[in-house]
Amino acid sequence: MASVKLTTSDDKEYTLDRELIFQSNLIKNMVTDLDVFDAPIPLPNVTSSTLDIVIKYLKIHKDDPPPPDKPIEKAVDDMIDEDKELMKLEFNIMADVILAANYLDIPGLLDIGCRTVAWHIKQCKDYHEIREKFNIPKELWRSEEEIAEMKKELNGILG
Amino acid sequence: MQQLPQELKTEIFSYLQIQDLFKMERVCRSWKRTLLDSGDNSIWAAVICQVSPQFKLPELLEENWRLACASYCRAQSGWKRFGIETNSYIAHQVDLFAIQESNVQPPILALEDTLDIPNHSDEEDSLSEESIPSSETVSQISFEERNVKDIVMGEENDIFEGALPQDHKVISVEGSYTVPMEAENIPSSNPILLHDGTICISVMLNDPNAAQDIIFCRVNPKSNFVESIAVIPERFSSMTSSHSKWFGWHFEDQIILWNSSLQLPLRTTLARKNEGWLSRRLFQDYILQLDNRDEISLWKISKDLSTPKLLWEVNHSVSILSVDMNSSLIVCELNSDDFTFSKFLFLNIDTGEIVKCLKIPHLHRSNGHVEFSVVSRFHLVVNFRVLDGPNANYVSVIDLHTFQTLCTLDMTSTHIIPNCPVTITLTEDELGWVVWDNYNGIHMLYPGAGKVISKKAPNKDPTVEGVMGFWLLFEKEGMYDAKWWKIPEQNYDILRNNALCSF
Repeated sequence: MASVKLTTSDDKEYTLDRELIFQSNLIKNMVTDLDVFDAPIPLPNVTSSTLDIVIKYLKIHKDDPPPPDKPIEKAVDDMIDEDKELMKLEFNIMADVILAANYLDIPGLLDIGCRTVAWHIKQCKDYHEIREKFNIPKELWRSEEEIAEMKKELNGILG
Repeated sequence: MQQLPQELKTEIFSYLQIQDLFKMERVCRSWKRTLLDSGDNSIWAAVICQVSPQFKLPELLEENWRLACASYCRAQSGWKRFGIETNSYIAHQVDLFAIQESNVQPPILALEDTLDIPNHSDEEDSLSEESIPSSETVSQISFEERNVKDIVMGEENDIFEGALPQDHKVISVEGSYTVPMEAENIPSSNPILLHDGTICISVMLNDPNAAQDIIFCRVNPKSNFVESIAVIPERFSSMTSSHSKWFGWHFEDQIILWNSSLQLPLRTTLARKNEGWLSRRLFQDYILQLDNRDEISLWKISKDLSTPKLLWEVNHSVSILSVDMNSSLIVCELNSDDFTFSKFLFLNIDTGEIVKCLKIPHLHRSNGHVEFSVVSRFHLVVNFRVLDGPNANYVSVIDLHTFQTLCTLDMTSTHIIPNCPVTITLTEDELGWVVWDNYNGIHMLYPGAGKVISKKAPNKDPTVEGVMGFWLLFEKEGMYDAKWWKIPEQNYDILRNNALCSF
């Protein structure tokens, strides 16, 4: 079975089955369009620890049918148990996984990552808890640039 | 969350329901901007599908939606609140009050054939007996009583300073518990609390070349900050009257309406034939226009917020100083060379025809100031203030069925502060009036019940600029009580420090 080599940002090299990693549209396109079977593909935005989680996801879903063109509307917690287990992550790690899924163009992983974050948001009873959970600093006020932009918008509408 | 790019945050937000978005938008500015800039259809679809069909939102979707801050939508389960996007906070849930229209409509009185409008000399015109409605008409109004706590407290209870009494009820028939303020009666330096919770402030922009603009802000009680939500150029002047469904400003042929439901300023135009001075008043869905040739026209604001439609225009060859209206009558204060009287002309709102001419011998107009307000379907309140010479300050209440003066309150002893006029509004039960000035406090008139109650307002420092608050009227065991509810002062500071501009 053909394989694909990947190099993470922390210089760890992975050799993965083509069928498995082709769930990533980015890798699939690079391999098929650029014919880079042999050379390792650098992933400067993905660390090895993040890629490990991505690979776990790919293994869980390796036999899944191709995703539909149009996304199906699902409830925020509508995911299989394996995915739920996989997504039991610190938020910072989860954010890295989401970023990796976005970069590697793995729609299914991006979907469960975003839905998991959304689920966590829904569990928060107020915005204070959201701030605390996601370690978000208080940014209450607009910057001068934002104010200028807003004035411009308003003037455009109100004349 | 900070490390995620905007499009991924939008992706996450698209999985949230409206109530979650509303919670989310308070988290931080960057999240708000995400919602502002995303244009994500899934978020909008969730909002749009539940918006009352009376609101047409295509315009919002195109460009104005960026300004839309919140919308009250009437879902099947009752009034619900949805944060369309950022900044959404409405301090006063005006729309939560069920508007229970009375079936009682005061009849339009027959015009006396011999009425000579400009030169009429009688103090009060006589009316035929059959045209005078019985006093029972008023008592047929039915009230809807709702518990204050349920209506007012909600999740925004920390806007109020102190707790509301548990066992009091507020009676609402039309309007809200918030006493609507006359925009033009408030000094421009003071913030005006519109009854949808929006704070309207006239400010001098930091830019010395900029004119004084009207800024709309909203206090978020949860985070205690004020967000600027819209700006109207200074050249626009208010045309809002009491009990108006809209807040509006006009300049030449341009109209800006503040839509309380959409939290959005909407601009349209109103044709006028003559150049020069004119005034406009807003009442419910109507705009009353008076041009410099004393031609009066009535326009209806359409539900789709397009150009108002002309219903009628008349010219009765009288010189009109100012106008006000209710759902049945248009009241015009006439110009007169005889300064011992104030003259009022009453027009049928359906046709513009004259119903009544009335003279009220209270004031020497030349050195005084007259304010009048049609405070309900039934009553006209006129305030006469003499600014020069001996103080004189009267408030008269005129019954719009009989055109009799029901009572006159002498407020001469009250301290009159320039630019701090008496404000008059209808009580929640429409049977009385709350009269107050910003310095002396509240006076309540209940002529229908044979009562005139005066109450002093809580001590307020008259030097405090921009007291923001509102009156609530409570009923308990047949007794009425009015309370002043004030926005916590820390919000003033935040307002001053963080609004778009300093003031």
